[in-house]
Amino acid sequence: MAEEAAELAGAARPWLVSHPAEWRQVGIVATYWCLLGSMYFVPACRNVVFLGAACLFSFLNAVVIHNHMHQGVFQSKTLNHAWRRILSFGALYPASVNLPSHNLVHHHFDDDGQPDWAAPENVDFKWNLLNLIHFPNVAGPNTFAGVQRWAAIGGREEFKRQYVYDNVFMFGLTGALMVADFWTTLFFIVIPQLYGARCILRINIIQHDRCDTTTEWNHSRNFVGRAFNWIMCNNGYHTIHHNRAGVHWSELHTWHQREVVPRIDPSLDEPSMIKYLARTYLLPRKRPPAIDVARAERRSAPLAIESRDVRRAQAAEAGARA
Amino acid sequence: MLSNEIMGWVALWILWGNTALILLAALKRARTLARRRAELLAHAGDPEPGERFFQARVVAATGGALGAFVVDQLGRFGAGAARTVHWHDRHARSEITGGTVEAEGRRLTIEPTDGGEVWLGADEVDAASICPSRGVFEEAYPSAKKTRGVEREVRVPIPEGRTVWVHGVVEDRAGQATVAPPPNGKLLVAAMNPVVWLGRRVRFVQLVFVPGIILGAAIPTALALQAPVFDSPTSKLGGLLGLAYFLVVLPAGTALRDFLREPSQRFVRGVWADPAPATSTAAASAPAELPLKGRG
Repeated sequence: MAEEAAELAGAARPWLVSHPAEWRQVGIVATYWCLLGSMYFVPACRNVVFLGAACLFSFLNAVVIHNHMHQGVFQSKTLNHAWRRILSFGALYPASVNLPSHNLVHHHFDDDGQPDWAAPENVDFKWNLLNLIHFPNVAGPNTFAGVQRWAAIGGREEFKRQYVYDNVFMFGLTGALMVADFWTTLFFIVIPQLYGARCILRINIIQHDRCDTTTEWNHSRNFVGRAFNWIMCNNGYHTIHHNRAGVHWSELHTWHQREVVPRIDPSLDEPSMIKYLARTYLLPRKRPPAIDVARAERRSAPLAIESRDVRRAQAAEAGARA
Repeated sequence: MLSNEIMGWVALWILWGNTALILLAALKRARTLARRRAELLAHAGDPEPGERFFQARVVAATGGALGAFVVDQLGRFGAGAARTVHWHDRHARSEITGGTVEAEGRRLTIEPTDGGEVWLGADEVDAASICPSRGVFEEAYPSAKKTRGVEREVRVPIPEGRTVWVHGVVEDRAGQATVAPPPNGKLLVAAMNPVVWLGRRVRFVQLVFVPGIILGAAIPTALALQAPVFDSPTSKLGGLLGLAYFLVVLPAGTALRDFLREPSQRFVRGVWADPAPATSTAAASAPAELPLKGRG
């Protein structure tokens, strides 16, 4: 990781953003805002194509929230904070929430002895499709209740300030749009916002159900398609992201090949998310049985990485900078 | 072009679809509790050999307690000017340490068991988790201010003399009646009537929660469908209430799930407030009474 950092330091510093690849994320969010704006201001754009695209880009906006709360998109802290507000509006949830819920709790599958707020075990319908649909109804409230408890602890004043600013901006702007045109806002702004927020919660069950979160390398499912990872800003490479949260998202493919592939059960490297969803949730009624995915890890050469406690501390530090 | 009417129906479908999922999850959980209640009632009776559910009194116990509900907690100092310690549950466990109970004139041995269930009333657990004295608070607070916080153990015992409800298999071992775990479950020792607790929870779901959330979704739906549909001020009010309801019904579902957790799995948590805020740094007068362990 030090080599990459040195290499990056030696390269010309990009304008405004912290890494040249960040422009892709800026473009995704700009496209999303254009879609929302088009539907709000131009009645002819209120159609299935624009609404569908807005829902897709809302999900991608939530992916950008995830990446931004790990490593700020911009060099300037002020710009990073402003960017949080923009992203919060896009998902109708405060981006700052990711710091405790994702970086500190989810990355370590553990709320200090209690299960991760977004653990797949939160849902247990026999019909697996219902688990996928219902999951955000449980993981969402779990997350906000957990964040309230986390924020009640002393020394987290800066987080609370950012959390309030996120809320004021996203509810303020959404409310103002509602005052101006209630139904258009409800149907063409709020529905995409909530769709993206719920999908990013849903990704937790997709990426971790029937994995072994007690292991170091077989806790996550990866989706390794190239086009998928281009638009998803490499969020398909989830195992390495958990273990090396400090690595920039644009480098995850290389790290995945180097560290994860030799240690992961091949069934956790999925070429296509669509095929996986169809195979797991649409075609069968029952949840797939658990298999011993940790076998591959036991057979492979061990690789020393920092403990989850150390990584949790690093994640807290990186999130605070974003 | 997606008209307001088409989108209105889509929005109502989303609202009712998610309401239905929350209802299904609640009813599924209630059915599990109802089955447990039926199982207990099916085995209710005198403590004769076989699987039994019976009421008894603790007459002797190892270390003075038949068992205990134990929660390991981590405390951290609270935000704000007032000195507080916020407790976070880490692991909850039931300990059945063993003893003798008497029921219908018979004495039965309950052997120490791993993996049993100890049920205690919420009031009793809450009372055991409050700050027992200023001395304990003064001991805990400095550690709670450190990064790693302060650990404690909340232990609520079932002492000798208590009335308990037991579910297990009564066996005759060398002339001594002994209670073992049931074949398909855990040995249950409850200091409150579990049939009553389970029945109340099931009835709450059936009579309060289910009708409540159906009504909660029906009101905004009825308002939103006032003519002219998705156009009138009344319809708009229905749309706004529908959105608010959607955001509120989700935490209601998880609050219900927590409410339906068996007493052996319940959250304890809790906040200790400074018992003497005006003279908070004065010397503590009471000795520490709870096992506290600084981690920092």
